[in-house]
Parts: sequence; C-alpha cells; structure tokens
Amino acid sequence: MKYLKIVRLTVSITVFCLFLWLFLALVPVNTKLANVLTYLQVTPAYIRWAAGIGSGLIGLLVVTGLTLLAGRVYCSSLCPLGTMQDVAIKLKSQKSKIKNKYKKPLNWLRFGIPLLALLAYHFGRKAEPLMVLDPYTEFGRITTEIIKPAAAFVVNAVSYALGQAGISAVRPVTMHFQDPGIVIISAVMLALLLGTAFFRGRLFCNTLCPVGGFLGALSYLSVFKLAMDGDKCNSCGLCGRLCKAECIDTQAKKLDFSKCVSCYNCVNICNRGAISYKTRFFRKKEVNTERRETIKAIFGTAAAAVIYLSFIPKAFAEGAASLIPVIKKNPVIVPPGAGSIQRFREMCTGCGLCVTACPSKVLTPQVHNKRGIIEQFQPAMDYQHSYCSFNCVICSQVCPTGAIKEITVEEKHIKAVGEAKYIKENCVVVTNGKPCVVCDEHCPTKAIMLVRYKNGLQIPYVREHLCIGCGACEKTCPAAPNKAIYVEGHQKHKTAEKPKSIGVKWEETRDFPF
Amino acid sequence: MNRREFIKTAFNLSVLTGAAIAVGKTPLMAVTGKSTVPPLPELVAIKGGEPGAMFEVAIKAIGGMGRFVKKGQTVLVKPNIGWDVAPEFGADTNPDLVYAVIKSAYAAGAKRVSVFDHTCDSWEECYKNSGIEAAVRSAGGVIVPGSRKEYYKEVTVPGGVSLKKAMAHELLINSDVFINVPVLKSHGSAGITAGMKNLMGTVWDRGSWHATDLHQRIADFAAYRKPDLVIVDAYRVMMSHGPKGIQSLADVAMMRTLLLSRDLVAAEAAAVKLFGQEPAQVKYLRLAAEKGLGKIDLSKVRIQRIEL
Repeated sequence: MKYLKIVRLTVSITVFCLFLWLFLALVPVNTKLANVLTYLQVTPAYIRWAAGIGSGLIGLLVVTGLTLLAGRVYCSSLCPLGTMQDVAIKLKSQKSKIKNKYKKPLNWLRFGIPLLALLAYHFGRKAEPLMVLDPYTEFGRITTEIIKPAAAFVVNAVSYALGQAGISAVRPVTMHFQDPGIVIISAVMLALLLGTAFFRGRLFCNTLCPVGGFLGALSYLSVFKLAMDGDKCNSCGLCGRLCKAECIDTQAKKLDFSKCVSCYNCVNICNRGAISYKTRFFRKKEVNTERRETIKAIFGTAAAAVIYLSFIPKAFAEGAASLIPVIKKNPVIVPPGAGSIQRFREMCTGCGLCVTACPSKVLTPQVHNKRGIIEQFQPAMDYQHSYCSFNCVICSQVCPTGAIKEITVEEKHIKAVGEAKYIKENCVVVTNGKPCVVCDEHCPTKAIMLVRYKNGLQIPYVREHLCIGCGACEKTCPAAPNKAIYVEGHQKHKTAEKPKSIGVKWEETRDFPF
Repeated sequence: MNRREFIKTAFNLSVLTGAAIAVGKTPLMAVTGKSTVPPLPELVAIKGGEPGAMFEVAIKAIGGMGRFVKKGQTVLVKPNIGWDVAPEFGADTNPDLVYAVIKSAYAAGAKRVSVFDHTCDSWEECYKNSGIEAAVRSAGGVIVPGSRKEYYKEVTVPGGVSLKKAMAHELLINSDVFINVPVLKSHGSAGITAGMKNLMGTVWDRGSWHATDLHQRIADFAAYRKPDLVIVDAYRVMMSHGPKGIQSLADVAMMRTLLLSRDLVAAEAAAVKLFGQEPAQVKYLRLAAEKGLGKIDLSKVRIQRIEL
C-alpha cells in the first residue's frame, strides 16, 4: 500500500500548483482550467446544486462517493487549502522538534460548524459561515489578496527590466484595487492557518473546516477505512508523530478515521505494515462510544443552530434600508450574470476567482458602502477604479458556485446591472466652461448622447433604455471630488435595448476632397 | 565663440553645403537644392487598396522609409489601440497597416521598433482584440505596456498654454524616430479624431486634459515632440458613434485611404476634409496651426494624390 502516498503527493501537488496558477492569473485566466479545477470543490458544488444547477450534484456525488469509499481523500488530495497547510507541516517535520500526538477532537465544533453552515444556507440562504470558513474560498481569497500582489510585484519588475532591453516576453500583471480591510483579514487568516499547521498540523481541518467536518462525519460510514492491526503494531510511535491530523493514538493502538485526512504518511512509515485499509464489513462488532458521542454532538449543535437561525434577521431583503447612503441609493452593483443582488448575496462565497480573472479589474471585494464585514468578501463592481469591459464575460465563465451565471457576450450587451445618472451641476462642462464629455467617448452603447449647452458646448444626456450600467462614464468622469455621472445599481438586473446605428452619410467619390 | 570664429564656421558650413548639393543626388538634398528632380510631396494621399499595399506605394512616394529611419535607430510606432473593439469596426488603427509600418522600419535598418498605447479600455483586451498585439509580434516588433506608471516620466511642454508639464511615456521621450499612426474616426466632442488626439495615448495623466481644457492641451502637447512621420489610417472610418462606437458595421465607411506626411497639422487637416468637415472648425487643429506646428491651409501644401 506504499504507493498510496505517492499517488496522493502527485495529485495534491498537481492540483495545488494548478490552483495557484489559476488564482495568480499571471496570464489571462483559462476558463476551462477554472471549470475543471473547481468542479470537485465541495462548497461551490453544493451551492450550485442548491440553486438547481445540474453540474453541482455530480461534483458533490463524486466527492461524497470517494469519502464513502475510502475516507477524506478530498482533504489531502483535492483541497488547495489542505496542501497549503501541508507546506508549513513539511517545514516543521524537517526542522522542528515539535511532534504530533493524539488529541481528542472537539466534536461539537467540528460537526457543529458544517451543520450550522448547512442549516444556515439551506433554510436561510445565509452564505456567511461558508464565506469565512470554506477551505476553497479561503485559499482563493488568500492567494488573490496576499500571494498575488507579491507575485505581481516580482513579475512587473521583471517585465519592466526586460522591456528596457527590448524584450516583451513577460507581460505585466494588473492588480485589482485592494481594500485594506480584506487584505488584513486575509493576512491574519493566512498567518493563523500556517501557524496552526506548523504547531498542530491539520487542526483547522478537524475543528473549523465545514467541509472537513462534513466529510469526517461521512467517513464513519466509509467502506474502506485505515485501521491499525494491534497484533502487528509494537507501539513504536512513529506513525503518531507523523500524523498531521493527530488521529493516531499509538498507546491505545487506535486510529480515529473520521479525523484522518488520508495523507498515508503512517502507512508509508510503518515498518511492520500495521496500518492499512480494511473493509468495515469484516470487522468485529464493538460498541463505538465515540460514534455515540458524535451523534450526541450533532443533535446538540443542530438544536443550537435552530436557535441561532431563529434569532438572525431574515435573509437580505431587496432594497433594504441598510443599503441606502446619501447619494447612491444602491451602491452595490453585481456583475451581469448575477441576475440580482439577492441571488448573488446568497450564492457567492467570495473565493475571488472572478476578481483575479477580471481583465479590467472592476470586480473587487470592497468596503466603500456600508455592508456587513463578511459581505465585503463578496466582490462587487468598483467603478471608482475601473469599469466593466463591454465584450468580456469571463467572470460568468469561471464562477464556481453559479453566483455569476454563465452568459454570452450578446446577452451581456443588453444586460443592465444599473443605470447612469447625470448631475449637471457637477459636470466640468458647466463648472469649467470647456468641452469634455469623456463619458460619451467611453459609453459602449451610446446611452449617453450629447445635447447642446451654451456657447457651442455640449453636455451629456442619458437615454436610460440603452444604459447597461457598465460604469465607464462614472470611472472616467474627471469631475472632483464628486462625479457628475454615476451608476445607480439595479436590485434586479434589467434588459436594455440594443443601440441602433444611424447609418453612414458618406459617398465614395473619385477625387480626394482636397 | 567670438564673432570671427562664428563667421568662419558659418562660411565653412556654407561651402560644405554647396559642395554637398553639387555632388549629392539624394532626394532630400534635391528638395533644397536646384535640381531637375521634382520636389518630394509634403503630403501623400492614397486610396483604393489594401492597407499594406497602399502603405508600400505611399512610403515610396514620400521618399522611402530610409528618409525617416536610419540604420541602428530605435523607432516608436504609435497606433491607436484605445478601445477593446474588433478591427472591422475601425475604432483602432488597422493591424495590417501597423504590421506593414513595422516591417518597413526594420527593412530600413531600425534596431528596434516598439509599439504601445495608454489605452482607454483595459489594456490587455485592447491589445488583444484590436489585433495589434499579434500584428506587432509577427512583424518582429516589441509590444510595450502603456498602462503602467513606471514607464512615464515628467517632461516640459515647450510653449504650453494650458499644459506646461506632462508625464510622457519613456518611448516617446527616448526613441530616435517617432511614427504616429492614428486612425481617423468620429468623435463626440472634438468632431473628429486622428493624429493629434492619438498623442493622448502617450501621456499618463490624460484624464486631467478633459477636466481642464481639452482642445488647448491637445494643441499644446503636439509641440512636445513632432512626429517624424504621420500615417493616418482612413481605411475603415467610423463615421458616427466614435471614438469607441457601438460595434456596428453600419457606422463604418470603407474609405480605403491613407495619408502620409511629416506635418501633423497638414495630415490632420486632410483627414478632416476626408471626413467632410472644414479644418478651421476643429478647435484643437486651429490652435495648433496658430502655434506654428504645421500648415492648416492645404492649398499651401505640396500634395501627391495616388489612386490604386
């Protein structure tokens, strides 16, 4: 069974490197790669399934099937956050004297969290617990907010240096606007994860991770389980010291398979071959006290969750008062494909894949508007720093949870996420008396048309039925400190009219006109 | 240098020049010297062909690329790549034309031909979807980012009325040869846009131009560096909804025309005429002509007209 670890290492390193490449987005993101990689991520698959998007169920079935067959294979092979922790664990095993030993799991926590997350999502469509704790999402956010800027800094320095030598082989990387709050939160998460990984191995996976807890509960039912053969084991303790899940009690010669992340380090290290996969059907019946405790814990937390849910406010209502700042009634604008703010709120975990893939960097996790701290993990359109590219639908193609539903470029051209509003008094044409109308230049649908103002000047006029709310006018408006044109978000996206050409007034002549 | 030395030097130089005119038969000399060779046109207008083919004929007519690019020089070719729009809609310079210009510059012995634009839409999409990045690469040119601040340095604009200092791309500052390759199209506020407004893509702080005095600043910046050659792409001309357009072929006129000149103002004036307007009505052009940056009156320009 020694090949198991080699297989696990190969798969996990490949998956991890691909995920890293995907989220760093040093070259334009490959949507196929994004789709393949995120297909088996449990939380996105669950959200897709809950929203009735067919592919979600298949992804979910594959991972639960794997777990029911051979335990938490996901945790050591497919989970990018798991492998990220393994890097810290590897550092430790080479340097430090800290050794792992068996610890009793905090069952109420490790089963409580997935249950709470599940109930909150299922009954309240509250994605917050998943937004904070889902391992795939956490990996995405950390990579996009912490690792990518560092990588971009290096790449851009190299790109500039090579550019000076006339080599344009390395293209620079454009970073999205980074909100300090999100960066700090991500940095703290990264430090906590690497810290706990260094000292306590996969502690996160066995206490806070909703996917780890869910698969852990499932693995009680696994057909094949890793188990210790008490006759072969001489209690040397090697496996226990190497076990990052702290699930092997070498004194009692027991392996808690529900905590096991299937890394197979123990299988590999044991000289006596005492640890191997055994079928549960051929085992002696014994009273499993731990399982009883687990079941108790599950019911206990279920009760707590119900109480929690009855106290939290009802799911975000469209047009709720908390969204109303002084100027913009609806400052939160979600990408075309999201359908409505409500739908997006419910389905996005904030993994940041769209943020990193977005070529114009209009999608950012942002805090300018008064949203709850956790809601800020979810990206929105940031018209202060950029605007949405007319011909781009990449966010809809990469979104793993279906929060941004896949749309075509043609659909996007008439998908109105908001509507431009013009404040004449702020306009530089009025305040300055000079021509500008940069908003008209950038408007992709010519929802902005020019009308006569005094002294031969022109000012914009918004034709709402053509406006798709892309934000080009707001971003480029030079008026300061307040913009003269801004986008008011639609709670529910609308359909705009397709602009019509007015035709060409030009006839070919034989001669030049000069 | 005292007066005597000055007179000596001046005398020697004039003798040398005279000798050169007598011996030299190069077309450039022919313009100034008395020769039977007809003077080179100041503006070449060509129509009726494909962009690459028209360029080959036109560049020969204006004296060959060797007149502008010498062996071992670095060349900046500045097309309009401002918009994330496919080539057939005429929002950006024709990629085939850009390809032909780069090839021609290399054939004349250029050491390196670089291309960039400080785009309006997001640069990655503009470079890709305009077809220009691919054209530059296949012609052996260097495509350089235009949307990163580290490439821009502060420069003084001589005689600037509104714009006295600007952040200019280092390629505009440092390249030996500057070839401006704009596309002609309609423009909401400026009426038309071609070569002079194309220069906005070589500065960093372009937004401030709109906030202050757009026409004056366009005219001001044109004085910073005169192009060695202007090639106006009027192959596909977006007649309305410019400068970005609404991706409608109905807005595009197939003029199949190119204009070549060393005079930015004259080239722009001819472009305005092509568009069916009067040069004097375009404010930034009038301001530039008043600054003495070129000839706005086309009757005073030596024009060669070619039809393919």
